[in-house]
Amino acid sequence: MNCRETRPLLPLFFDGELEARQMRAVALHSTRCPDCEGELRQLERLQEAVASHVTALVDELDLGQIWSGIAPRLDARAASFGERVRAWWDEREFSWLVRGPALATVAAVIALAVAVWLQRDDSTVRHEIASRVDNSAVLDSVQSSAESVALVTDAETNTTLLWVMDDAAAAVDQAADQWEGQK
Amino acid sequence: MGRAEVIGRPVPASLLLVSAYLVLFGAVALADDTPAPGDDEVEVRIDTVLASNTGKSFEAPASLRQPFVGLFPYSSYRLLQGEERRLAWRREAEFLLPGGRYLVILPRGYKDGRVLLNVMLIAGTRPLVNTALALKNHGVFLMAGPHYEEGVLIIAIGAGTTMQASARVQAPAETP
Repeated sequence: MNCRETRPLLPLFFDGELEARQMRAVALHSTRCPDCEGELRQLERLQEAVASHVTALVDELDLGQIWSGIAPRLDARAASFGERVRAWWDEREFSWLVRGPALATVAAVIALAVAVWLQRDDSTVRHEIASRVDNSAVLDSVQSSAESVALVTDAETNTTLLWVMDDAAAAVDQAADQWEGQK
Repeated sequence: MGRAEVIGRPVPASLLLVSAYLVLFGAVALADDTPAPGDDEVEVRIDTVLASNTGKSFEAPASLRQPFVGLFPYSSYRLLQGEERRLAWRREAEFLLPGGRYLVILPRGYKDGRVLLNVMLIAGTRPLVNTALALKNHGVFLMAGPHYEEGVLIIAIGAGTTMQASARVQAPAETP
């Protein structure tokens, strides 16, 4: 290998990008050729100069501010609850062994809510509403041993109130007999 | 530490769903195993409330709030006791009340959407009041006045039946 063939290969040789056979040939020629060896030395100095310059520039950078600038953006992009649930749901390791009971639980809760609502609609609500709406009563007879008895009706609910006094002296003796007669 | 492996075939989701339905509806059915009052009985509820002007509160059934506000001047209502029974027609039943009083209820029948009742309030050995009334089905009738502690007693008498208005009339002969 002569100088004309070697010179174009010197940068590649310096970077170690030649095949093994060419590397050996260039290295053998350079040890015997002062011009080619001088050119390799120039490449070496150039590389050292560039490396020292870049290192100096990097040393001037304040890398301590990088994380404080990135962290707020990471917080802003934190995954929502729905995204985390979706990610959990989509994980490969969760098969129907997990999804089955989860779906069954959701269905059970819905079924329970419907059942409770139907039960309430069937009896409780009807009874409560009926008792609120109309409590009207017709009194056929009233006997009392109290000194005063008052009959009052609430206009809103038609609720009838029989007000009696507890401390009356007189008693209606025939009330008990009348009670027996009504049965 | 290694992760536990599940050995065997996973339970089918459809089987789990069916099981969940059966368990739930079974629980609902058990919770409602008390039969509704039939034609041969009437459901009677007695709520005894102490009304007074000491404090300001309403600790009684919510369904009584509106009639209480419309009928009474008190600021405090406190439920002392509540009792619910299913009574056979024409069979009297006694309900013990606070202060040595008791209430005797005789459901006489059902007519025109109303429950016919005889109600006797007894204090000690004497009947304080005795009345016969026709109460709207599932309605509430109030008796009040007996003194108790720092206030007066309000007795809410509710009665209801599933008997249809035109199905059966059990009213006895009118009270003389």
